[in-house]
Amino acid sequence: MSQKFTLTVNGKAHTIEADPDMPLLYALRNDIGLNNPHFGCGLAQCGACTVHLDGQPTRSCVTPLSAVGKAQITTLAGLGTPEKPHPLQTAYIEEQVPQCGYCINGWIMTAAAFLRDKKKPSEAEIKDALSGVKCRCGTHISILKAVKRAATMMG
Amino acid sequence: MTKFEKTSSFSRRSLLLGGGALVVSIGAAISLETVLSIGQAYAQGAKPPLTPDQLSSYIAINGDGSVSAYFGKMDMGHGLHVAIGQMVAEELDVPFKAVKVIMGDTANSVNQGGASGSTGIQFGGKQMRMAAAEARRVLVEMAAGLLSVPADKLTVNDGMVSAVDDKSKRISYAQMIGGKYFNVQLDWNKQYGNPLYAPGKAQPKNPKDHKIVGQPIKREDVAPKVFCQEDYCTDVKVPGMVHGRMIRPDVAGSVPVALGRVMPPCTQPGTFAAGQ
Repeated sequence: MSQKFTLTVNGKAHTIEADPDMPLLYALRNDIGLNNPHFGCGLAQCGACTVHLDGQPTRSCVTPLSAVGKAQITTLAGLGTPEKPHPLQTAYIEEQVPQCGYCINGWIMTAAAFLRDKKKPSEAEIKDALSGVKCRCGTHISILKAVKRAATMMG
Repeated sequence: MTKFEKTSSFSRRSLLLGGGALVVSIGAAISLETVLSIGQAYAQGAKPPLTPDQLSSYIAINGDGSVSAYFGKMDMGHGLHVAIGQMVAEELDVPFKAVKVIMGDTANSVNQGGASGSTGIQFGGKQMRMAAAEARRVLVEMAAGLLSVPADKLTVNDGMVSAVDDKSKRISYAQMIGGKYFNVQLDWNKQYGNPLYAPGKAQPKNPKDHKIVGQPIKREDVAPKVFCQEDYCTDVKVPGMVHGRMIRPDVAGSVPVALGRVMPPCTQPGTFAAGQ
């Protein structure tokens, strides 16, 4: 049974009609037309679909619309722009991190919340915080360098 | 493989040109007639067939002096645009920024095989390096004829060939062949894909002389990925597109018991039964 949902994505409100059980990811990609959160596994195993709900990294592929409520949704596209990049975006470019980049939402959105809450993290703490995200290209060492660089930039 | 790559498609050209480029021996006296025939032998105006044994299938010098490098593989974020561009620029002695690597379309490049195992440089780079080295050799020979200076007394900087002893004697790649196509036969091993190899007569540079290869040049595809400015294949939507998904059986050896015609609205998923 379809219901009306108003989703606030990157500061902009979108009203859609959808089944309450439909994953948020489908609403973002298909109804709202945002391509940047990716469908990876559909099982909350990889992280490619990660967005922030009120600042908390969330796997949108297993988050039903009924659970979103009035939460502010932020995607990677809303995290920063070429003019005003998030430190992680700057660090990703400096370290030339991605190969294919398909997993990028998972790493950056997870790390952005982590670095916001944890200043000057140790390498072990960074690895622990990102342990649930997958990169099949194997760019993990570059990701670690970029997160360290961003941590330094964020003081 | 595209129709352009069938060997029959270049027979006319082989007949016309006798299959060989005229090579001028170094230090020999060069007449105007020889110069003109070098130009005819090495360059032509019409787009030649896309065959692995033609230098034009890999390298073209454009009218503005920029270089098109036709690479028969594709990039999935490995940085091949940078790496192949560096290798071609290095061997041709042109700036890195002057080289545009064109790939991912068999209408533009010969079949050098697909992308797998991050082996694009390992399997595909050698051919591009040899093709660029051959292009430089041919261009220096053309310049030797036009400038009346032996090829071994010429040097190349940023696509400009000049006499070592007299820098006023000079001519650019673009002046010699810009906008025309190489007409140079390569020694193709008759293989496609990863084993494809078609060197010319040139030897590539010694790695100790490399100035561009080895430089840390940044990729141009990173920022668009980081700022979500480019689409992936999975982001492409076309009108009337339907959804397909691989549904894997729970047990190895399963066979389908029914095949549904799955069209929207999707009401008939295919089903599997375990075992035979």
